[in-house]
Amino acid sequence: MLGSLEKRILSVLFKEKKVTARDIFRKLRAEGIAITYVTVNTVLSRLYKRGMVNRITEPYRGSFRYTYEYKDLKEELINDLLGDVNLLFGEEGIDLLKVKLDAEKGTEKMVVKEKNIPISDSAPMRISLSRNKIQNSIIKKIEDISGQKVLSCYQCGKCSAGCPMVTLMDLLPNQIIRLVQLGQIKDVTDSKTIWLCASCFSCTARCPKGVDLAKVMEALRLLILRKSTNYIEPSELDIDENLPQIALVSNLRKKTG
Amino acid sequence: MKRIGVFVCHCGLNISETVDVKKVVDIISKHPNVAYAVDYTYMCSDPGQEMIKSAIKEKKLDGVIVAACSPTLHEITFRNAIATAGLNPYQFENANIREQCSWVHKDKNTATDKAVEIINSMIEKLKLNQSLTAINIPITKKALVIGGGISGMQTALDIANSGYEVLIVEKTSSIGGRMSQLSETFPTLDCASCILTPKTVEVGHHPKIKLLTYSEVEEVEGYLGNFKVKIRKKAPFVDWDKCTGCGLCSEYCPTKVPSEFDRNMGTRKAIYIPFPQAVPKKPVIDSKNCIYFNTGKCRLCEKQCPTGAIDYDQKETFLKENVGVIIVATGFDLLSKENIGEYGYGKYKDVIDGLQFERLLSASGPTAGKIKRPSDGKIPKEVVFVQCVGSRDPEHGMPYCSKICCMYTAKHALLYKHAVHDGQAYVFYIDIRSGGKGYEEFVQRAIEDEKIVYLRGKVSRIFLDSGDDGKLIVWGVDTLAGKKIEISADLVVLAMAAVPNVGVKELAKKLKISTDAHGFITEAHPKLRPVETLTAGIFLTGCAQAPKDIPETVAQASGAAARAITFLSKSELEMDPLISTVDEEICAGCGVCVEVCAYKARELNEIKKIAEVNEALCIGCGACISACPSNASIHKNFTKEQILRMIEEVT
Amino acid sequence: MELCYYPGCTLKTTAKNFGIPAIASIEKLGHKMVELPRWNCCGTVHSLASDDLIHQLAPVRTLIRVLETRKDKVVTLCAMCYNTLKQANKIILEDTEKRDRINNFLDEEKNYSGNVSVVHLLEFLRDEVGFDEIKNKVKRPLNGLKLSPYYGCLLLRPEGIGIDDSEAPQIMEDLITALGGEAVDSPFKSECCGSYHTVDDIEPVIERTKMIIDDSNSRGADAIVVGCPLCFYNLDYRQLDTKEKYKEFSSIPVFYFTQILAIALGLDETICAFDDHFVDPRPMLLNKKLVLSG
Repeated sequence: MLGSLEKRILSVLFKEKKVTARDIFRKLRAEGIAITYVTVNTVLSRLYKRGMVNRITEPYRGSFRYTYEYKDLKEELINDLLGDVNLLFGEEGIDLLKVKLDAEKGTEKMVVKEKNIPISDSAPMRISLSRNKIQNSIIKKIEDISGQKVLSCYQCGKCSAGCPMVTLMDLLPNQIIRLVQLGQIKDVTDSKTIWLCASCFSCTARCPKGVDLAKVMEALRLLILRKSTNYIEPSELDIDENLPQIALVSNLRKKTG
Repeated sequence: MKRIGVFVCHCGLNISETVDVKKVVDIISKHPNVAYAVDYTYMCSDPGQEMIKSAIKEKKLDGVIVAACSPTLHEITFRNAIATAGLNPYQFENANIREQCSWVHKDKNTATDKAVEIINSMIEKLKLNQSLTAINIPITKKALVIGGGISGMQTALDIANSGYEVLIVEKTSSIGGRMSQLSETFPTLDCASCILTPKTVEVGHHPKIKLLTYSEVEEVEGYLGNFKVKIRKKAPFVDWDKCTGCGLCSEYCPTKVPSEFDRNMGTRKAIYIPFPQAVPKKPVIDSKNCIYFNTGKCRLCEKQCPTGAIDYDQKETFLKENVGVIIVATGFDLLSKENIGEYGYGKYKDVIDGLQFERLLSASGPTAGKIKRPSDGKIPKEVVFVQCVGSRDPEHGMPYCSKICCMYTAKHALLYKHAVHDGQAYVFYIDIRSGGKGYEEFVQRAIEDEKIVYLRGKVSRIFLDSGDDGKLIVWGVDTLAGKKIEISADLVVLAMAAVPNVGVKELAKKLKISTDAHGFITEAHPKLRPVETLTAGIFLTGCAQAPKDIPETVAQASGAAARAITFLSKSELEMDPLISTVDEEICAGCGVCVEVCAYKARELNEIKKIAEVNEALCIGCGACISACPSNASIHKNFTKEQILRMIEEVT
Repeated sequence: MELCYYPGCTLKTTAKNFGIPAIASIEKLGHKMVELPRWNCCGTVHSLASDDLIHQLAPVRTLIRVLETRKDKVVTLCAMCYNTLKQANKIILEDTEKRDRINNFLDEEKNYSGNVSVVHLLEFLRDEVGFDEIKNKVKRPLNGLKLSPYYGCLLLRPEGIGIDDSEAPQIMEDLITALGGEAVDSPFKSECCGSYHTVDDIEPVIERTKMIIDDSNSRGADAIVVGCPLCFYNLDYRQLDTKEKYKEFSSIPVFYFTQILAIALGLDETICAFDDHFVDPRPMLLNKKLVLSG
């Protein structure tokens, strides 16, 4: 069937109908998905080879470029889906599918609700604080995993000032630990910042209060990864044969569960 | 038969909650030596004291026991009370039934029994107490002030104007201290020299003040009222009696070296007067850099001197002085930028500290008050000020806040803007501490009127850009806007941590006073006794105790002077008589006690061949008592007999 | 002397041109690097979670292997291996509770209590061979070749693990000077290259590569010298992607410090395998008369 990345890209095509690889790349980035242009390009090429998208060659800036067109595959994909369900689970499966479709008719989403992560306020610029937010067991868990006392940080910002990846982050490193201090864990786990961290230890080396921020970042990543959730999908990686193993292994250590 | 009065205190609920005070009174009043026993809520209060005084008269008591808190709190209060009632103050004992009983036990029965035992043991001691009188010693009516900065000078003036002699010992060749290096002071922007010079001149001319500059304290012996101080007068190689301060010697001297007074921003000669308003205005020769001292040649200063004051063979001298009190006013220095790796380990010429910037601002400084980049002399248009460098940094620097940096940085930024109208100043801060009078308004003025940009965040790195213009790249952050900040700066001024001056730890050892882990001198009590040390007769003031600004320094200086004067104004000092004494019949003159005594209070009398106690020096530590092999060393009112009886009572 | 050498996975495959010149140079200097038998992967990164110990087993096992060779020191080349092994060693030395739990778990191995010291080859060259000694053995001095040393993160941080001062390191500069080159100081020599993000998100790596290389170029460097295979990949191979994004980007060749060491000691330059570089350094070296063919 389709991989999650392929699905994402096709969903953009479904909305836009006609678009270049660069456009899709920009759209996905804007949605906060960490992806490279190379990957988008490669996936689109593969989809084209499988006949799932149309591709036109257009003259562009003295050379040419590809533009991709949405191909209506509803019929085929749904048939495939039903076929799979039937193959794996038989009549029972098809019946269950019918029940689910009836029940969920009318609801907007069919998503699995996240457990255990306290949800911050629905208005993103407002935090409502209480004992429960501050005396939170998740903060304790983060402190256990990292071995650091988050309240030692007095928000001087030296970590953010020296962080090599800060220019691409959505939240500053010091804001991350600030939000942890205030129990706003969802803001932190939703951020790009913790994944952009390169574990370079510049923050740790310079912190005047001796807070090892690299360990706190790792603890925040582990909150997600230890639930067997991957930040990147190994199967979707485009591996260059010259890539040193240490890069691949360390990347997977940091971004997969 | 002793008639002892026992007063059992409730101490509010502190004692009475755990000890049944009524029962205690009941049992104690049955003791044969107890003529009167009573309980009361607060014995240390006025009514409590009155109760004791009346009881002494009415019940004809010849001994008083107050069963209450620890004697460290109110022993003196009670002794004074019974003295006013006509009873010898040393016929008093304080039974501690709080810290040693009610506060450490929970069970009421055991606590009550223990309280009774404690009081009984004190009765045994009191029965054998002798009536003692305080020892009176004379006081030398002279004060020694170590350090000639603003705090030392203020203290000296207050004491001298009260009619007592003062001796100021200052390490450098002139008084004036850090204030003489400043350009203007916050928040009034008064010219520092203009407000300082009247004081230095007054000190220089005061009939009761003797100035010993270019000198250091070598040794200190003795005690409050009678300190014996040995002072080393370093050799300036110039006869200051002949010298008129004309300055010709410096003009002709061929050697230039970096000037300490200008914090290495400018140069001085090998023979030099540190600054134009120096008091005394006399030069010294820096023998390490002087051509004559290194090679035997030159001697230009000697040739030029119109009064023949140059004396290359001058030696350092020592003099001894007796003083009654000592005030330590040794001031502060700044932590060296060479400690900070991320800002260049001090090797970037255009990264300077606050005092160096003051010298740039100062009209009598190396650039005559023009703000110029040390590297190329150009006027800086982008100046970055970094606060909290080395302060509030338990991991790599000092954990404490240096207190003055927020204010002087605002002052620096403001004065920079006054001098360079089209320049831009940035201040990186974590917090702004502007608590003094007029301080907050001053900082807001700097921000609003001078358009100085305050960025909340620390600076992670400063390094040299690759171009030819020698710009410095500053990487900081503004946590409020949530962005990393990069500035290409012409000049960076670091607010370095304030640390005690060099040599203070050694001086503290000589004075037998304590310092904290950072070298600041420890006060007797941080809240209630901030100008004294735990050593009687030694006071402290100014930044030697902790970083502070000029108004606080001057206030503390006058405070120290007042405390010193309470001793100097007495004709005699009363000392505690609870010290050791020698039983002349038994003493064999073996000398063990002399060796054991840490206070040099024991001496062997050659004629009588026995040991003697110097009552002024003995503090009653008890070392000689246990060391004496023949039991000839006796502690007054703490005899072995008394202690054995107390032990018997409780076991 | 014989050195126990821990190569790690990358040194044996994609970074052969780091390891082979090293072994040959060390031999020229009169010592021998003997590969540790039965070594296993160190795990690449030190696990920053204080509550798990499973990730410390791989490095500890490696250190036990070193003990079995009856040596008390292991020399590494790969900066990641160096950092991981040394941090694991530090835990064993400082935390007795964790040490005991690890030893209990690895009951099929001998107990390990931190008696192996982890040394990077640069430290060995500085402390045990000495840069003066290396200078004496130089056969083909580098003729003032302007080299900009790039340390990356894991050789210098965190404090207590680094081979030199993290704010102002000098070790590679001293080596370059001893070999006859001219060290070009760049403030970005200790700034992160982007590290493992190169696998799935090259945007930050491109930015870092551009910043580091632009600075070295503007200071007149002829080449950059690194001590880590990942830094090499990011600063060499990723120049392609950087050029794609920034048309005016100027490339610069990148060396491992062992390659310039080998060249200076007069070894045959084929062992340096310059073919494998993306930016071929040979034209530049030929220009400076440091190699025989382009």
